[in-house]
This record gives sequence, C-alpha cells and structure tokens, in this order.
Amino acid sequence: MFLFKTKKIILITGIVSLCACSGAWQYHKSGLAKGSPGMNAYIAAQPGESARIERLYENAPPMIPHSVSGLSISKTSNDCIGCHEEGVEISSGHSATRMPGSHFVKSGEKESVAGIRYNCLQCHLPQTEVKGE
Amino acid sequence: MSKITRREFVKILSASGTIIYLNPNELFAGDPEKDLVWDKAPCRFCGTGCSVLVGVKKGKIVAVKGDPESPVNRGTLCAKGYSLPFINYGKDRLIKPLIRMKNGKYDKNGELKESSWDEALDLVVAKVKEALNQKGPASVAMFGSGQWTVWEGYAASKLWKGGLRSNSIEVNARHCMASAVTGFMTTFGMDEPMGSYEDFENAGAFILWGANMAEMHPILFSRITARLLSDKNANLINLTTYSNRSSEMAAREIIFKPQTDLAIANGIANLLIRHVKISKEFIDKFIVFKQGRENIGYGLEDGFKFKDEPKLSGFEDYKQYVSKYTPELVEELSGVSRKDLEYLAEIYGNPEIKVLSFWTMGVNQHTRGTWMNNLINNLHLLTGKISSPGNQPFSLTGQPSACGTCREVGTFTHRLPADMVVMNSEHRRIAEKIWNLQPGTIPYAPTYNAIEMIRALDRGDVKVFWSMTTNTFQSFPNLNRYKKGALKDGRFIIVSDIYPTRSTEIADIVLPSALWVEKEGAFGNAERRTHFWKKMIPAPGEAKSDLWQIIEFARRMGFENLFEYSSSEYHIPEGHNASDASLLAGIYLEKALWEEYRQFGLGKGHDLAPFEAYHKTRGLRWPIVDGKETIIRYREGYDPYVEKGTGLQFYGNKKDQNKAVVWLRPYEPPPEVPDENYPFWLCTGRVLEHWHSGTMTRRVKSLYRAYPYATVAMHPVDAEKMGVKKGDKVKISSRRGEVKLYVETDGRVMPPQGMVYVPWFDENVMINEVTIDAYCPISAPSDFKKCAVRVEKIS
Repeated sequence: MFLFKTKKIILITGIVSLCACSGAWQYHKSGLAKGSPGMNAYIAAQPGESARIERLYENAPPMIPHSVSGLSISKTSNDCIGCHEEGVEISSGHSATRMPGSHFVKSGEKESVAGIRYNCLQCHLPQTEVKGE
Repeated sequence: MSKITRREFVKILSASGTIIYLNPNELFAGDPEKDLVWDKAPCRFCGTGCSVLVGVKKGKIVAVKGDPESPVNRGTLCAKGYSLPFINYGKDRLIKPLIRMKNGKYDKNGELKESSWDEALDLVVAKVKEALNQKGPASVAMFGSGQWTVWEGYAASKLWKGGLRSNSIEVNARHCMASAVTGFMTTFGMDEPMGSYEDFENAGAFILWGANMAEMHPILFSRITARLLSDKNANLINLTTYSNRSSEMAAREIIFKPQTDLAIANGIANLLIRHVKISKEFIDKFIVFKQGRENIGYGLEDGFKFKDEPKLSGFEDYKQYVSKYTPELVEELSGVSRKDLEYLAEIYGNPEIKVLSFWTMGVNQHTRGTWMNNLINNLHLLTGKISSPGNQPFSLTGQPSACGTCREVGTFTHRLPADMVVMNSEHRRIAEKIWNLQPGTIPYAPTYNAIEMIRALDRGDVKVFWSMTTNTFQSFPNLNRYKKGALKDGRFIIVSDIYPTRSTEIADIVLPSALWVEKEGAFGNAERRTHFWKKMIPAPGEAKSDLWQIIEFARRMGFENLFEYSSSEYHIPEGHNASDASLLAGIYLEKALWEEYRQFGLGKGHDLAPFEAYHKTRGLRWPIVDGKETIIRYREGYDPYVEKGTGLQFYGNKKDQNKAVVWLRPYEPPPEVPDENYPFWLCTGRVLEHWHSGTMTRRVKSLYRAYPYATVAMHPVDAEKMGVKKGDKVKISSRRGEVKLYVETDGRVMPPQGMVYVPWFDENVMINEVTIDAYCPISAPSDFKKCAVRVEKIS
C-alpha cells in the first residue's frame, strides 16, 4: 500500500510534487488500500558489504545499510563508534561513513563523541529489504 | 523569532554555550542556502517538545535541522524528527471533503465521494441540529487530541461548552495522561510536573517506572545518556514489565508482573520507614495523609460512575498501612526480589542521591493509574526529594500538546482552562465572564469520558461523533464493539484528518485538514513549555486547518459571536502569513484567542505570557511572571508564587494549608489475568520509528522501511513450547477479538515468559480489537498494557 514506488523523494536539489492533485485517486469505501501483516526482514549484509543508502535530503542522517545484529551500545561500550568515528576502510572500496563534526564535543584539547549523540539508533535506523510498496 | 539566515544560524551554533560543535559549516554542505528559508517550529510528534528548524523552498518543506538554540534538544533530533519534511507529502493526502453517497445523496451505506466544503458542512450542520433537537446537546460529541494546537482545543472547548452547551468534548489524551492529571491534582492540587528538563543534568538517579524512554522519548533519553556518560556515579534503573532498549544504559533492569507496581511502590515506602530513610521534618512541615475508597472497580460496565471519598489520615496509620507490603509479599506479587526492592529503597532514601522518577503510559494506562501516580509522588514526598534541582516526580507525555492543549485548556468533559472544572459554580462563572456569556450557559454536569462517549455512540445516546486530529477507530480498545456501534444507523461520524485511516474508513464524512506548518500553531510540552510556530507553507488542495473547521462550523451554527474580537486590537499585521482561520475571521485570530485564553490563568499560578513573547523564543514555561519563566514550581527562589520565608509551598492545595498529600493506596489486582484459556499477558505500545497509529510515519520511506510491520514479541522458551519459531504466523485472540501476525523472538523487545508485546501502529494488525476497555475509575484512561490472550500457530 505504500507510497514510495515512484521514488519521488523530495530533495533539496530537485523538487517534485507529490500532491495527488490529479483527482485520479479513488476513494474506496474502505478508504484504505489493502495491506497485510508482514515480517520485518532486515538487511543481512555485514558492514563493508553493502552500498550506502541515499539520504532523504541533504544532511539528513544516513540510514544503516548493514546488519546491526550482535552490535551493542551500552554505558561502557559503543560498537558503532569503532568504525564510524574515523570512517575506517572496512573492505576494499568500502569505508564506514565518518561521523561529522557535529557529533563531537571539545573540552580543552580533548575531542570526544557528544553524549547526546551516543544513542546512534535513535536517528540512524537499520533498514529492512522492504522497498516501500 | 524571524527567519534565520545561514550566517545567523552559524553564529548561533558557534555561540551555543560551553559545548563547541566542530565545523558547523558542514551542516550546510552544498548550496542549500539558495532560495531556502528557515524558521522554527516544535516537532509534530511526541511530548518532548524539540524545536526544529524547517527549511522551506518554493512553498515546500525540503529539510529540517535540530534547533541549536533549543534548550530542549540542543541541536539534535530523533529519526521521526528528521522525517518531518515528508509527513505532509504522502501521495494519498486528503485534499477534498468526502461524503458517503449513494444515488447522488448522503447514505450511510454509500461510498466516499468528493464534495465541496459547502455541501460537507451543510450536512454536518443538518446532522448536528437533528441530534440537538432529538437528543439534546450531550448527544453531539467532539473528540480531539493532544495534537490540537492550543487555540484549536480552546476554540473547540469554547464552542462546545459555551455555544452548543454540551460537555461532550473529550480528547485522546484521556487514554494517555489522564492519570497523571488526577495524580498531580490529588497530591498537589495543581496539574503538571513541578520540575523541568534542567533537572536531568542535576540528578544522580533516573528511575523509569514502566517507561521505555529510549524508544518513546529518545531525545530525553539521550540527555540522560549524556549525564550517565559524564558521571560514573549517575545511574539509570529500568523498572519494567518486559526487557527493552532502555535497559542498555541501565545499571539495573528490574522486571515486574503487570499491575504490581502498586505493591512495589508501597514496598519501597515500607522499607523507607523501616530503615528511617524518610524525612520526618519534611513530613511534619509539608505533608498531610489521606485515604480514599478501595475496591473501586474497573469501568467495564456502561454508565460506570465513581466518586472518591477522601478521608484525612496520619503518619502512624500510613506506617501501619504500608507495613503489610513486606519484601516477602512484594516478591510474591511482583516477582521483584528483596535485594532489588532494598536497592530501590536505598536510592530513594539516600539523602546524597538526587532522584528523578519518570513515567508515561505504563503507569497512566493502568486500571489503578491515579493510585500509581499518587504512590510515586509519595516516595518523593516521604524523602523530601521534590521541587529541588534533580529531585522530582516527572511524568512524561506522549503527544506534542497533551499538556498545552488538553490539560491546560481543559478539553475534557469536566474541565475548563487553568485546572478549573464545570462542576464548580465559581469556575463556571469565571469562564462565562471571560467568554461574555449569560450566567448559567455552561452546563454543570460532565457527560462522558472517552470510553463512555464511544459506548454512548454505540448505545445511541451520542448521535454525532466528530473525530479530529486523532485516529479513533484504530486507537480505542475493544474496537470490535465500538466500530460496530459507529456503523449503526442514526450515528453520524465526522473525521477530520490528513490521510485515509481506519477512522476515515468508518466515517460518514471526511474533512481534509491542514498539517503542522501549514497553519500557525502552539504546542505545550511535558515541562510546561509553550512553543509557537508560524505558517510556513500552504495546505494542499482544499485542506483546511482544524481551527478553520471549528470556526466555520460555529458560524454556520449561528455561534459566530463566540469568535468576534476587536479588529483594531487584533488586525492582521502587514506581511504576516495569515492562516486560513485568520483570513476567515478577518483578524489575527490565533492572537485574539490566545489573549482571551490566558486571562483564565493570570494570577492563579498558570500565568502565560503575551502572544508576541512566544514567537521570539523557543518556548516559555509557565507560570510566567514579570516576563520570567519558572523552571521549578513550589520552591522559594524559583517560583514567584511561593511566599517568602516558607521555603516550599504546595500552593495548589490551599484547602490543606499548602501541604501535599501522601495517599494510602493499596495493591488491587487487574480485572483480567491470564488463565487456562487465555494464558498470556498482552502488552501494547509504540516503537521508536512510528508515532501512534502510523498515519504520518508509515508514509515516510526511511521509517516505513525501518519498521514496516507490527510483529508479536515472544520469549523464545514460550515460542519453543508452542512449536513456533521466528517468522511464523500466529493468531492472538482475547475474549474481544483477534489479530494475525508474525512472531519475533529476538527483537529489541523481549517479554518475560508468559507475556507477549504487540505495537499498535500497524493498521493491518488491529491489536486494539484484542485489548480491554477497562479503566482507572478516577482518571478513566484505558489500560492498554494488560489483558489476557491466547496465542495459536497458524499452519
């Protein structure tokens, strides 16, 4: 039932109208297109095995193109930061997306990840294989 | 605040306090400055109240940023916040009124057909007049939400109570934070938390009472995380009925059986007294003890009524009362070990540890929600850990203006603005004076709370039901009964919304609404902060703001006098991007409504600032006296209402000599518990990616792809016992209904054995056909967190 098959995503550089102004859309008695329950199957590719997902708009937080299964974020350790802090090369031609300056704080000479940015999964979401249709 | 240019924005960033964000320019890589206009607005989603900068290009939202000037979110946003540029632009946006028609005229069994606003509103007016004539004002019901802007809720309340003379106005916030309201009212005599988000940086312990903040309040959780990372002595304790993401940062996760939080809180109080961890001096000076009725029922019957009868009690009686909640009994009821109970008592009792208690739906959507609110407040009162930096009982809210609109404006059947109620003749007199009405206009009797309202619709006592800014027919419990009720002949259902939903499916008439920055608005968040925004883009097609809909309906009903204001005082300023409602009224309507509304609270501890002040700030927290906001209430030096020399005054409770109330409230079991036929507990709730019924978030690609389907979380041992594995399809049924969906055994939510968890965002998994319509007799929110279900494998 979903709405993304046209891939008309609004980008800063190319605005397309998504407004259903043509009147072609039929209002059925149900009011809803038919959908059904499903299973969330997350992208299984491991870090370094998949291509980046295009951002929704310039500077939107990138979504996660790899599996996060087995990775954890806790008070004592954060498995994301290891690769993403510096944007290390994971496999040939695949570097982890480097965390931007906004994610760090400087106190004196020391730079560290801002505490308020520590819960990576609050913005960066693992994605399923569902394409949105 | 006016528009922010890029240069100013960068200046704000680099001047934002002690934290220096490196390379701020990268936020604007490329050339987005071209033709892009930025302005501020509160986020459309939860009750945290983050400020976002909205980037508009040629009349379209194309980007958002966390607002670096916002004291709430400090430049950050969560995934839902970052999805805001897409919520307005779903392909199936409602852009014309729709009427259910057959053979060219309205027919309840017809199909939705496009109509004009004139036809649609003529029909609404005809049906409302018919109901008024046949059944009287109480049969015309408005059901709004905590997503109404302040002036939408205010206009609706004024029209219903002062125009139609009907108290049949309720909001979905009834299901959400009504128990927090009655909790604060019965303990302190005034609604809403006394603290503010500044307390986060001052606290040493964060105790979550059934609130998965990591997913439901991510930005606030990140502020807690920042605090935990910067001070190794600071701790988070996750008290919960199932394991969840908030536990990842927790020093301890404590799992308890549903409903037994009542016993746990009383058990902590018992240990505090036994170990002499209470503050006797504080108790003597600032507390009275009270006991109410017990064995109070569950609101399961139509026409259920309850009135508490508080009696004065005393410390010795209270001590005796909680002494039966021994660690042994608490463990037997809740499954929480003595060690964990002692640990909690140590944290609440240690004078060196500043404690913030948080709660939302776990405590509020509870058949004893008011009691549970009282019991958490008790712990802070017994120890004196209240109304000081880092020490507060802190209820969170789920909707952007559950506080600002529902609670403060009082859009409930029994309430009026500023904590006043229709049952009180003096309060009615004050409202009638401000509204310029004949004395006796406002009816004195409340009609229906949310559940009673939809039951009345089923019975035929309510004839017209107008659902606005909420998805009633996905979000109410025990939906099978209420959907059938709405579809009966002689019931007229109006749904104002932005997209087709399970509610438009049932509607007789659908009115297309404007969304968020398509209108001018105000929201009030969980820390008493009211935050305004301006209209930034036009609404699509013929969509109209809910305020326009209310005003135009009022005009057609002959109540235009309720919304007539001085055109010289409230003229629309030159260059102002006036809303459709302002253009209709020919004045700056939002300003006129605000200035009238704020008269209710001035001098009564609910002081709001003049209209213009809010457009210049990222919100202000009431009471605002002499231009200064209040970050901690009831404490001398912070709150201008506290008399000099008293130190602390719970001035909402004048009848109790400005003292707060510690309540004697027992553990009582829930109405339905697992048995042989229905052996599992069912708990429902949200997920980080989706908001409420998913109307907006399921139309955003990144969010939809991140969590397309509602699944049922099961413990692997339970799954194995049933011969079910991850990805298998099952049927979940209760005495009320059933759903079919897929099993998850290793997701982010892990229920204990004997419980399953299903989120309610997915319109293809209508879990509320399974849930129970039991409620707290005092506050009347439904208990979405516990009922008994059966799980069966579908081969």
